[in-house]
Amino acid sequence: MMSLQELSDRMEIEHLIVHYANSIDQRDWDGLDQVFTPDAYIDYRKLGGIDGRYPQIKAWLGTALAHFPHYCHLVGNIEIRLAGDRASSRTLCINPMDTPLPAGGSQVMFLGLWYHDKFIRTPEGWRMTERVEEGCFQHNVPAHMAIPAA
Amino acid sequence: MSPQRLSDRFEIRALIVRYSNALDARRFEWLDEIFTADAYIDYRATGGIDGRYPTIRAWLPPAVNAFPRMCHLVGNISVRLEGERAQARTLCLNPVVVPLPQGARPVMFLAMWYRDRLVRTGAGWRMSERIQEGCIQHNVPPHLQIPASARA
Repeated sequence: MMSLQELSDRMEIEHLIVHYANSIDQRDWDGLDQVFTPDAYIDYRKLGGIDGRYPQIKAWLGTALAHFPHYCHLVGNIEIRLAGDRASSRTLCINPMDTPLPAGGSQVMFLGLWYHDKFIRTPEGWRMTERVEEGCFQHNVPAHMAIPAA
Repeated sequence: MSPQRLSDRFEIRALIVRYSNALDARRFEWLDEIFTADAYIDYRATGGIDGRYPTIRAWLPPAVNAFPRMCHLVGNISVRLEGERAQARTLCLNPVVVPLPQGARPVMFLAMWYRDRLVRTGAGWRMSERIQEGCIQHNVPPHLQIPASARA
């Protein structure tokens, strides 16, 4: 049987993963301060983004995502491995993105990806220290969008 | 809910997610810790086979590896606990990248429900039965079409 501490840790980490998605989808960049440690390493390169430490990524996100009028990040399949005050997880994300077309109008592309995350327990609760993306599928991507093959 | 029931529900949910990850990450050996040795599995609703776990364990790797990428997003996990046994119904959204002979790689979208039976063992909860019930099929190439009669 899982202890109450383990159940609580798992729920807190799941909440953190959902909070990331909601912060991104609401363009609440400061909300991410409650998700990542200040020196977290983030790697979005598999889906055409950048990699770097959290302050750099936070500044980049607002600009990069301003291009897309609507999008959402539906997360699921959260598998967590707890190791005391550390943890790691694998999460699936389905990410529809409304993408403006050069000739006007827009087209919704559907991306599928996994997040490979690492966490640490801090006095303020669990925080993410690493997030690395792995691509799964790309559907209905406009021809002008260059995303490396998953 | 008692701590025991909370723990049971967490463990069963983790088992259902672990199955998706075993297929999606092609770690078929993980399935040995998901199913009982004599589990009954029925994939016929999505064009597969049915049989006992050893048969399915041998059938799965080539069936999955025919596709370069796929994912099995599960949700709507509804668990009914009955002491040492349990039943679950889970919805699965399953995009699959299909390699076509000409080089194109379209994505087909399948959806299905899993109707599972589970049993508590000395090593934790295990699945003793998994039956697929078909739902939607979108963008499926002609050579992979599944007859409507097979889906239910």
